[in-house]
Formats: sequence, structure tokens, C-alpha cells
Amino acid sequence: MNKNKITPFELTTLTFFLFNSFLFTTGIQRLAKQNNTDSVLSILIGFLLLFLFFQLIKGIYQFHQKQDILGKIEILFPKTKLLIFFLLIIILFTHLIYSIHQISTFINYYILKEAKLIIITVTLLLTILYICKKGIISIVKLSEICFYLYLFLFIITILGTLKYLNLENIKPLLTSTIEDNTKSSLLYFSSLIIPFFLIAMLPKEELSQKKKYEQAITKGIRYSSLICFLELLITISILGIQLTKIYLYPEMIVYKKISFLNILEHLETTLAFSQILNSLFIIVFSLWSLHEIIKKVIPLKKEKENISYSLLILLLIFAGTLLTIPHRYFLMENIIILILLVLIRLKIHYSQTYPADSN
Amino acid sequence: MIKKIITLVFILLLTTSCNAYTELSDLGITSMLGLDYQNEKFIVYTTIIADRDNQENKDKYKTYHATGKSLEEAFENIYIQNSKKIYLSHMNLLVITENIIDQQLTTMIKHFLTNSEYRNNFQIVTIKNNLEDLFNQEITAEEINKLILINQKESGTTRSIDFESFLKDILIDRNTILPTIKLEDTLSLEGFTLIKDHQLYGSLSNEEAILYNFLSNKIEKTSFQGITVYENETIINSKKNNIEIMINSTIDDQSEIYQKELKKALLNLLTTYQQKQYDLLKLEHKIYQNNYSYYKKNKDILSKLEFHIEIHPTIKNNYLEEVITDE
Repeated sequence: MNKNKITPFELTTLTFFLFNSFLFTTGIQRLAKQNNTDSVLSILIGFLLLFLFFQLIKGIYQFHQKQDILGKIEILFPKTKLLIFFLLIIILFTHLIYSIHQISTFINYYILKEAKLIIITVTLLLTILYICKKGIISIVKLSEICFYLYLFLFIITILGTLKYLNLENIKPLLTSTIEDNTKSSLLYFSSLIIPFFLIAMLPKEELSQKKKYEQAITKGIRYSSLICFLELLITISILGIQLTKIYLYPEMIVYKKISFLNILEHLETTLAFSQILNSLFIIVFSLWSLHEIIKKVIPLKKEKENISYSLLILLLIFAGTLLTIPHRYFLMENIIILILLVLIRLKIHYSQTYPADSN
Repeated sequence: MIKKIITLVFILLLTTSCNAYTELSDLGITSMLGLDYQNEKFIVYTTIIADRDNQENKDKYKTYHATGKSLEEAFENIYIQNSKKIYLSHMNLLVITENIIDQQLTTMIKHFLTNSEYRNNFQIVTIKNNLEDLFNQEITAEEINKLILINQKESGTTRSIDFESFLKDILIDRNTILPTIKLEDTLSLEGFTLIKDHQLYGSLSNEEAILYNFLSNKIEKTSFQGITVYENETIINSKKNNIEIMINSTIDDQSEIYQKELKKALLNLLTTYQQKQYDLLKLEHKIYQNNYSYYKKNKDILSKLEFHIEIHPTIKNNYLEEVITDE
């Protein structure tokens, strides 16, 4: 097997982490606030929406398989490509600021209470920079290793929380209005559009088994939705809907309860690593993608990549510690990407139906 | 290579806690916390585990107290007397007075919610006396927790309530109960303190506390009117406004009296608090969970509730008695 190619399972694990970023970017609390106990169902409806959307935009991945999405944009929108790239740079940059701020404040609040926010941000970004610099193959391979680690931590969480589960707390179900159900399902769906774009940064050609490209992505989405569903179910059934709604990261309160035979206690910091993994890959992949877009706008020599990455990291350190991007802007960014992906899909459809016109 | 070494050293410096760290010996591990509110000031008492290496001072715990206009200010004032950082993650017990419940309960809850250092599994009790009486006698958190735990298992007059359960209950309908302790010559239990609308509402005596524990399915062993209850299971089902309570107990003797008297006492307790509009068992919430359509159509459900109690006592086998009879 070619070591420079991505295996379908590696793509599945990367997709899994990108879509699992929901637990961090939007989080269980926002979903529970929107739809109370019915938020458990919102994830199921949201998953169906994600699946349908993937079927809709599948054509993008199949079009010019050797090209990543940037190459496809260049082919489809030769006149407006620069404008689109600028838009993408702004979106990914703000998305990075949002994600970095979220993860740094999480670490600061729950794990490193004494450390200054900037120290956490710098350390985190240096790690991310190191991963990015290793290139996409290393990122994907790392995601596979982290997937096993994530599963291990998740199994520990499930085993540790079994005795606290109280399914009475999930009741009553099916009590929300159609409006609330729609809103919360859309909240789940609209938080996960950027991952679709990020996956499209990987050309189909990079995969060792091209035929399994779409299948690998759907598997990743399925696993991630399952994990989100279980996390929400466990959290609400242990804490109850009222407590789930008041904590920003109710999962941490659940982790605090875990102990094995009264010997293994205080595991929350270790288990919180799974939360960090949820956000790490979206940040790494967004930064790598952002750098790729910048390279399209400003052609850079291989030797200058260090400088461009360093400048990006410096900008992110300052912006990440100084700016706070509200969640609604994060959702707006996702919706803009949604519109862009739909436009690309329509243009592909148009160019395939009327090849002469598109030229 | 040099660049790599510099980067590595830089990362190591950041990640190995050379910045912002606290030595373990500088932590004042708090075992018990007491909160009171008097004359518009918060009073905070803390019991901190003392240094083991200090041979001269053989006290296991040290107590500090301070006042402040806010809880945060009171905590800050403790530092004037104490050189250690108050570490709350290992706290076992929170003792609160009736004053703070009556006047500053929401402020207190907010303090615990905003400080991520607290773990929500510490026990919480109300004290009838001043905190000074308790903390001056050097009674430890372990002693109070054991008192509650032993009584929960052996007399059924109380039950331990941790902060999370307290919070969960108060968020449902702003009502909750807390075990109460009293300090006279010795430390003793005083039933439960009732909280309604984030304020002090009343109390349950030790006898009423046993009945309440019967209804909440928290009886492990108790004595009711001289009859010993060895085991008990209470199942509550709700069908619209009908609350069906089934009690299965293993007792030592007099099953008829037990059946009659317990039913009478439980009905009396339930109807008394129904009239007082205090949902002792969170039955409205139970109906909300199990019969949502009825809950949505009706208002003031509590006063419409009808209680049906069934008690099924089983006499505990006494093998020794059989042996004597045979002889």
C-alpha cells in the first residue's frame, strides 16, 4: 500500500473528528436550551439533514477528482475565484479564532485554572502549527491514532457513568413544538457545514481506494452523530435537563462524577482530553486549509512556508486572545459556506448539462 | 537543529508549569465550609487540613473565618489569616445556616456554579445553631457525614443530599429539602429543612423525616411506632391526578397495626403539605414526566392530587423463634 495515500478508514476518522467538533463549537448545552429533552431527537433529525445535504453535494467530490475544492473553484469560477478565496480566508480565519478561543477558555476554566489564557493559546497553537507543518498525510494518520484514544476515553466514560444513568430524566419526549424541533435540528445541522468544505480540501485522488471516498465520509458522519447522540443522552439522563441547561460544558460535570471502586477518582482532566481532541482536528484542518487558500492567492515558495505559517499563528494568537466571536457569527459562517457549496454544486450540474455554455 | 531545540525548550517551558503553579504544600485543602449571612454580611468558615510535617502543632485541622459584603470578599479576607491557597476541590461538606437560606440562597448557588473548582458531590446540611458553635468545637466534616450516613442506614431519620441533587431539585420547582443538624451538648439530627421559592419555608421533625423517607424510597432500616422495619421499597405511580403509592416492607411484628398507622401517618403528611401548596415529593414534576398531556391541560395540579396508599408488610423470618418453639 502506498504510504502517501490516505486509507478510507483514516478519512473516516478525520471526518469523525471534524463532525464531532459540534460538541465543542455549539455544544450540548445550546441544543438542550433550545429543545429540552427533545434535543435527543434533534440530533437524529440533524443527522438526516446532514446525510441529505451530503447526497446533494456529493457531485462536488466527484468532479475533477485530482483537484481539491480550491482547484474546482478555479475551474468553475475563473473570474470570481479571487473574491471567493478572500471570502474563504475571512471565514476560516474567524472560524479559527472562534474555535481557538473556545478551546483555550475551556482549558483555562476546567484544567489549567492558574495559567494565563495567552500561555494556553500559544502552547496550543504551537502544537497545531507542528501538526500542520507535517502535512495532510500526517494529519490524517494522527486522526486515526487519536480515534482509538478517543474510543478508549469514551468507553471509560460510559462504564463510569452507567451507575448514574436515570432514563426518567429523558422524559417527557415529543413535547416540543415543530418550530423548536426544527430550530434545534437546524442548529445541529448548521454547525457542521464547514467540515463538509474542509473534507473537500482532500482530493479524491489522494485516497488509496477512490471508490470508498463517499462511503468513508458517511461512515465518519454516522459515527460522530452516534457519539453526539450518546453524549447528549448520557448527560441529560445523569444531570437532568435543568442542570444540563445551566452548565456551559455539562459533560465536564458528568466526568467529575466518574470513579471506579472509589480508587480511581478525579478523572475529569484525563477524560477532558476527548473534548480537546474534538476541537483539535477542526482547528488543525482549518489552519492547514487556510494556508492552502493563502498559497493560492499569494504564490509561496516551499521555503517561505515557515514564514507564512508563523505569521498566521502570530495573527491567531493576538486575535484569539483579544477577540471573542459570538456563536451566531459562527453559525453565519457555516451558512455562507452552505450557500457556496450549493452554488458550486449547481455550477457543476450546469457545466455537465450544458458543457458548451459553461465554457 | 538549533531551531528545533529552541522550539522544544520554548514548548517545555510553557507546558511544564514553569509559569503559574502552586506547590502542593501551599494548598489549603478545605474539608468543610460553613456559610452564614448576618447583618448584611456573609460569614465564611473553613476547615483546612493542617500540615503533617509541623510536629509542634498536632491539630489535624485548622479553622478560619472571615466576613465580607460578598462571598468572594469573605473568601479573600480569609487570606489575611492564612498563607495557603484555599483549595475547594476536595471539600466534603457544606454547612449552611437558616439565615443564608432565607436571604441569600441564590447568591450562594451562583457562587458555587461560577467556581469550577468545586466538585458537585460534596454533602450539604443546614445547621440550627450559629456556625461559630460548630466550628469552635472542632467537629469535622467526616463526623457530620458519618452521623448522617449511619442514621440514613439505621434510623431512617435523615438522608444525605449532595450539592448536585440539591441543585437539581431546586431548579425543577424552586423547592427542596436539606438534612438538618443541631448542636446542643452533642451533635444531633433535626429532621429536614424545607426550602420554597429559594427561601426558608419550614422543617420536618425526625418523625416526619422518617415518613418522608418512606415516601421517597430512602428507608433502609427504621422504627415506626415501635415496629422495626428491616427493608422497604416504595413505588409511586401517577395516573393523571391519581397518585398510587405502594409500600412493601419487611417488619418484625404487628403487621395490621403497621399497615393502618403508617397509611394514616403518610396520608396525613401528604395532605398537610398539599394544603400548604408544598410539593414535598415533586409529584407535579413526576406528572410532567409521565403524563405530559394531563400536565399541559391542567393548572394547579398539586391541589387536585388524590393519594392512594397500599402497604404490604411481610413479617421477617425469625429462625431462632422456630427452634425454641420446636423444643
